[in-house]
Amino acid sequence: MNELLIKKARKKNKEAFVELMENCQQQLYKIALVMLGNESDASDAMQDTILSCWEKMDTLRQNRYFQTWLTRILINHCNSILRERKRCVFGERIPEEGVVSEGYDQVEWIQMLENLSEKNRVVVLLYYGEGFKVNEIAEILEISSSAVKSRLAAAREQLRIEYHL
Amino acid sequence: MKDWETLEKQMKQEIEVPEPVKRKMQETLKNLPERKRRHWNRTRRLAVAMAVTLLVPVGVYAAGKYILTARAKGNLEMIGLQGESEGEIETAALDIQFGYVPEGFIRSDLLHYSTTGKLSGWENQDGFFAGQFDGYPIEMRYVINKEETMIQGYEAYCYELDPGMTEGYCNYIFMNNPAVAGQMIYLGGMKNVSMEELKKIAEGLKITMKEETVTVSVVNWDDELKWMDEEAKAAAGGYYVDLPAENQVEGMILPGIGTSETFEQKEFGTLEIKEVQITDSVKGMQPEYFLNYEKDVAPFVNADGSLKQIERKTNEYGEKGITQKNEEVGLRLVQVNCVVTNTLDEKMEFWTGSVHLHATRKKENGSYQILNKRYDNHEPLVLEREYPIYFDQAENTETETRNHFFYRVLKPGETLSYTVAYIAYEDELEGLTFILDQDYMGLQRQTYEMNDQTKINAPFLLVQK
Repeated sequence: MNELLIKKARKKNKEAFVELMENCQQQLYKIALVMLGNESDASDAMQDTILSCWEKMDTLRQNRYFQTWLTRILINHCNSILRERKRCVFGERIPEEGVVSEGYDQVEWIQMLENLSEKNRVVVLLYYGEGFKVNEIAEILEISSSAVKSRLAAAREQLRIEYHL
Repeated sequence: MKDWETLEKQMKQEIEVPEPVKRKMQETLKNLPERKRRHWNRTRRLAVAMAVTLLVPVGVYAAGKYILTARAKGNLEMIGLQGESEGEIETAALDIQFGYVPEGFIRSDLLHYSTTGKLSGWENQDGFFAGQFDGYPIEMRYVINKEETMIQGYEAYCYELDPGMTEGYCNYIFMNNPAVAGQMIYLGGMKNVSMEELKKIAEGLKITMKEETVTVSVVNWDDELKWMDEEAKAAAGGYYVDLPAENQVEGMILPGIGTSETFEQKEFGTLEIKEVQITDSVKGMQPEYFLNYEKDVAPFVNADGSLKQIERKTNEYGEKGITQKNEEVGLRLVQVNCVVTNTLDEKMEFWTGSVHLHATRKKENGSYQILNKRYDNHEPLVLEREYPIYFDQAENTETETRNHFFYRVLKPGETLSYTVAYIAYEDELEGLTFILDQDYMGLQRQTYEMNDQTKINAPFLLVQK
């Protein structure tokens, strides 16, 4: 029923928006966690994403782009957090890499992806984990489709070498 | 970790969202800022009133003091509850049970059915739902058929949307109880549920009133019509993208075609386009060098190897919003023989797709305008036309996903001759243009944004002079 929820949420129907976000919760968390590596930052990114989406929902022009639009907003917020982290690296705040909830350490694949560069990691997750198409990832990350494909190839090559896949 | 397939499966799995994260999310959703109500001045109200007169009222359905109404503009139509007061009214909550379910469908949740038991969505195009309609206006595009009828004493409004243009529910039924204000039900069916079947499902519903009440929205057509008008205006901007005249290159050599392994911003490597052949057939070409030949290419190829005619859908933007033109058009294969050279003393990653093929038309100011984006974007991958679908020197062809990377690592100083092929429409050959995608090298360019007149600052050359 997401399609109908999107239609309503675009016109600022709060109940529809809440339901829509609840439906997307799992996906948002997964992407944020892989990008940021810890529960606390992932939670912050999700909160910022929800508020941005609510504010900008009526600017979404086509319902079918909701998923890419939402993911793009989330990734922008994740990038802001990563930038902030880099600024703080010589200051008092130490990044909480790897601080995650119980059960997460069983998720071997996230640890494998941690060895990839940030830009390659997110491409792999969106393509293989979330099932986005190359051109959708290009839209989300604001890069070309060829750059997406190139990053996928590079990431796969690195995983193949490191883990003998 | 065992193998790549295992890794892929694991990546697809859901991760449990921890309780603290859920709580924070709930808190955020509970405290969303209120919608700022738009206050229009008199002039704006007058403008809206004038706009309203241009819109076509397409239905007014009586139900006491509250009626279901529909408005249309171009291909956009909305249906909502209209009444003597704006805002919301209370009506009895309904318990809705399914009496008739088409064969092969199983319950996916309280109100949804599908053939797999999964919730219906754009990805699977499968299933139907029924629920109490809260009156909040629903937009429908590409309506191809409408019917008013009676179902179980309810006035029923049946909408069939063009399945070729609609991703999602393409059949809707709105049911309105004429005796009880605001008591409405709606049903939606994906492509595998015909209107006939949806009507049977509606006829079979067991509807009982509960003691509790629900809130139903009453449409403010001023707001909705303004929104519809904005939609049409936004669409009228189109997706056109310009190629500035100063970026046109002569000759057939494109510089800066590769990138270093570390994606550094370097310009090196050259690509020479040796020969371009335009044919109407794939005869003699190796299927394994195509992008998933059987799945993606074969549907467009006749038994003798010639390319089929297809029905092209073109979006046209204007005062009436988005309208669509369907026309038969032939496909052509643009085969390009190239030589790429790594000019540096380090390895170079080369992606054939960094050269895009676009259909363009020349504008009066000498720049070229990309045409591709005006077509319906539900096209199969092979008809995207921008990227090559054939590469005879692909490094990795062992799996489907690797095959279409069309990627090679070139050793220092290495030269590679290769053939790529693109698909083009037969009536767009005149303006065919190769564009070097500079994003690949980490250089900035303006991104495609809807409603803006954007441009790509990248070298381009015309295929045919």
